[in-house]
Amino acid sequence: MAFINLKKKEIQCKIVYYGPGRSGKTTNLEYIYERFREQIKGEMVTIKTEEDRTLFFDFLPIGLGKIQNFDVRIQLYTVPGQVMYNSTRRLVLKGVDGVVFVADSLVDRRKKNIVSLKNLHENLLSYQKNIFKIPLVLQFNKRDIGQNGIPILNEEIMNADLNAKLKAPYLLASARQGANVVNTLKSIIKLTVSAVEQNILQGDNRV
Amino acid sequence: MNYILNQDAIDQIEETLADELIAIGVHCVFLSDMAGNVVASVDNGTQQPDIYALAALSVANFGATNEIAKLIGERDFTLLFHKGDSESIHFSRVGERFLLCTIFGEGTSLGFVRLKIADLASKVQKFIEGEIIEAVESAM
Amino acid sequence: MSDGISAGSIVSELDEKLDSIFGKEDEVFSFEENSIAPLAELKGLMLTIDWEISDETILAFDTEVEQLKRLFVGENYAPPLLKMLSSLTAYLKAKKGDARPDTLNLFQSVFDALEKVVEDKGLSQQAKKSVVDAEIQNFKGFKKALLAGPKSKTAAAKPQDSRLAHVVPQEPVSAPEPEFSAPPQDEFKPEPQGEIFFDERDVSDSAIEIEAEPSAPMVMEEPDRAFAAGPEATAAPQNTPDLSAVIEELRGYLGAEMGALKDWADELKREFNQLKEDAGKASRAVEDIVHAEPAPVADPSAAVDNLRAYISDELKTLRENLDALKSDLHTRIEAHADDAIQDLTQDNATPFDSSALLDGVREYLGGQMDSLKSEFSGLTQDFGRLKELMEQKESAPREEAAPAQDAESSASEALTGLLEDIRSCIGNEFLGFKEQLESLKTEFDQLRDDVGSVKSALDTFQKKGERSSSPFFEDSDEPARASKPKAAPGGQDFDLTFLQDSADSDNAEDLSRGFDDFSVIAPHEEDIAEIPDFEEPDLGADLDQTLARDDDGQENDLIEIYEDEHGVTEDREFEIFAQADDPEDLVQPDKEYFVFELGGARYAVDGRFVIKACKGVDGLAKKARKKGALTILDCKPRFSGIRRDLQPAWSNLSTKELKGTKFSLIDSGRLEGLSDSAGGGALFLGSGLKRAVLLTDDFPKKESLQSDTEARDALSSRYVVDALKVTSDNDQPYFLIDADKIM
Repeated sequence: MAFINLKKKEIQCKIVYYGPGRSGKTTNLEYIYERFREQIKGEMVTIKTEEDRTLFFDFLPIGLGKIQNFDVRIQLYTVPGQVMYNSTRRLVLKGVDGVVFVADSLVDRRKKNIVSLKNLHENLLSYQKNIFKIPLVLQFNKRDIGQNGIPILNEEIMNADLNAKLKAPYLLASARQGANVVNTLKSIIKLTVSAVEQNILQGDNRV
Repeated sequence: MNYILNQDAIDQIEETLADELIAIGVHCVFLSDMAGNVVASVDNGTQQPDIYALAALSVANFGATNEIAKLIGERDFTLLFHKGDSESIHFSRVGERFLLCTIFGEGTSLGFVRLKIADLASKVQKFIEGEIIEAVESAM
Repeated sequence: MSDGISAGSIVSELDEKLDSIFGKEDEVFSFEENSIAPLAELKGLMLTIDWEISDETILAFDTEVEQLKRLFVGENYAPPLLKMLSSLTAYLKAKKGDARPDTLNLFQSVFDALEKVVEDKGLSQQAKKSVVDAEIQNFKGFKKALLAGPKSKTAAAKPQDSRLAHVVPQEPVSAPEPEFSAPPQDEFKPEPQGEIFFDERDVSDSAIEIEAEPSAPMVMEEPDRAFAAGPEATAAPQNTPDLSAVIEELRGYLGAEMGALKDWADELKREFNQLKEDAGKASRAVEDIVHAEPAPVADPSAAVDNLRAYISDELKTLRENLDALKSDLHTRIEAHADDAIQDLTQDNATPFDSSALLDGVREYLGGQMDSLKSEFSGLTQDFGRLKELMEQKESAPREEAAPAQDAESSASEALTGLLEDIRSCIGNEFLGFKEQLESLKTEFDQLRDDVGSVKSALDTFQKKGERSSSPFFEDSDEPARASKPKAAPGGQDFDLTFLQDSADSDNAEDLSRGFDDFSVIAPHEEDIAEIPDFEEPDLGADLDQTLARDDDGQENDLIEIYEDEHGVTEDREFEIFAQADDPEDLVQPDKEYFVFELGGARYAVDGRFVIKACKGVDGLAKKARKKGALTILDCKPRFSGIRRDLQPAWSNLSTKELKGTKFSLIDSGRLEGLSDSAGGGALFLGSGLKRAVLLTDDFPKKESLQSDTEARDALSSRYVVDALKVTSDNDQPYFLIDADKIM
């Protein structure tokens, strides 16, 4: 749930990077953090296990500065992808305003992508949010590995699996190389902020 | 150049050709001299092409491609092979005076055929040259 | 809206803002779909081999297959096919033109299967499996055909006995001259004794060529247990005929040669009888001459000369014949015994009872030997008698011719001389012949021994065969990966002790800040209540079905199914890919060790346990012992991170993480010299969650080492588990420390 402080003229939005384990959610954030350190005001927080798996969540606050007199702050979160951490995931999803679903392009991860998406849907439901309506961007990650000859799923299949009903915008990306990471972020920020704006307009003056 | 070859020698050659080439699936193989005469021939029974016509044409073909080679600066071509949809033919020189033509189908690999021919071409050549009796030209 | 937010305008301003912050990135990244690429190279090489089979093409193909093997590590269906291709390549390389003609067909079919499995994305797991199974069956069939026996070409076809071979000799044993070749078919009579060994066998055909493929079984090893393929028939019947065929031929050949030898022995005997007769005649002639009235005989010397010449010629011929026979027999039997032994020792086939057969062979040979021996002694006796006779005749005339006249005495002198000549001639020849036969006997003994060693070789296989089975594919339902990987540490439950341990690190601050922020944006109660009712989203039956569907059509928990099929959790799979920057990284690197000196001894630690090797700084040891721990920053104020090439196993650790991590100092009692070490270097070790640092005397360096088996025996410490050395180095060995234990 976005936090809008009309007095201080602040808007805070929460965007969560979701997806199966090891699909590259944290890498997305790390890339953004490394590249835009000057622009980004905050420090990135990561809580990981020994082997670089997100244990709780990663957190990266981004300040966008003033937009229409409002100070816009975006908070990026990633969730742990492993099945067993569902309670954490649910927790982190609380009050989410926009979601980036990072799907793994490796052939062997096909089912995991689908299961994770289902899981997102269930968790959103528990907050009475609708996966079809929430700002959502799909990222098909790890496309770079395909160039090494390792078999990856092609765009059509991934769309058919994940996007047939959702009809969400999607991007092919490589978080490791940084390809389309920023574009993904821009899209979700745009979608999220507009959605927040819509809500505000509808709800007239609600804070 | 007139020459004489014993039937015995011819039999030997044909036996070798049969055992080395027909055995690996070659359909037909014949040895001809550079005048287009068929010296020895064996086939696997499934087809009997007109080897006399073939020999004449092969030798002419070989001669022509030889000239092409010379024109492009080669001494001769190492692979002379025509590939067809189901039948293919391979040519190989044996010594200076003979030509070995091998006809085979899709089931046989060219690589194998070449390997076998490389092996036996020199043997056959030495053998023939040992057996040939040059007919003495009567002095004119 | 008086709050200053106007619809629509926020987005455009947002756009600008975002662009100004993040810059404009290229709109769309296009990633080449290169997943088809991996086999393109191989396909090209396949075509090249189809056209030309040479060492270069085969090598190029093999190299590509090896590379693909590395690429597809961890996959299910490609690796066994690639292995088959490797085997076939090795076979083709070994045999070249002698390989089975349908080798390339099998090549093509395996390759087609590989293409299907790799590139056809729509193929289900079941379908892929059956494709691979089909190829396995083909491969097995091919192998069976190989082992089943000689190729369609028979030995007779090989131009060994034909005159082509005469011109171009095939083997060191040149074709023997016609007289000595193996007896022609129709003249060959089987010996009554030892019947089991003789049958109407075409000696020249089967004897010469014993077809076996010693390299093929080795080449075709398929230890891959990844597949639930049908079991290779391990029962003996499959292979028995092969081995006995070999023995049969060997037997047949030996028998034939024995027969030939016997015939020659018979001939020799005849020759000698003939000679004896002739000598007898000669002696009688001499007798007559001596006892005859001293009538002048027409010059006897010519006749005598003739006789002498004749005898010595005969003996000479005999000796030559014997020589030739001996050498021929020797070479051929030896060569074939060698071949047979070699073939049998390399053939992995299961055993059968050979002892009876070989015993029989030996008996027979022995019998032959004995009979020859007795003949020989018979001949010896004959000669003895002849000699006596000669001697008698020699002494007799002297007495009787005493009162002879001069003419007579001169004649008798001539005769005496003649007898002397004959005697010495025959005597020498006799000796020579005796030698020949002796050496022939030795040959036979040798042959007997050879046959004996063939038998013992077979016995060995009998024992071996009982213990091992020789399937090429074991019937196994086990998944490809042999062992289940350990679960990621800290991954099973919320193990947050990690956080508590590093309470004084940066992380805690960040963490609390994160939580603060989190709570800040928690929604207010009213907000929740005001959310309009969202209708229950209609996912459509489709999405649910999509999610629930899997290839088997079962609606089980997908994760379970996935893990069942692959037998692995994602941890391990990702390890494989994550650690690889390029495919080369997928190859297990050579074992590298970090070596250092401590207390005068040299130690080594497995590189996989090393996080960082540092040079010491002043006061490091003191600090370490005081604190009981060190961080990497203690050694290196500017900590640049892990060098991937140097310590690849730890490349996944983040710099930030390691900066503050405390490595506990390894107890100084564990290694000699540790308590005295001035800390010239420090080795930061990690194993699982453990972090420890080892002080060293010098700066630890990376080295490639091999096991030093001699020095290993001298180990004494419980933390030292092996001794290693640089290959060509004769220095002190490095003692390998069990890093895990010592931490």
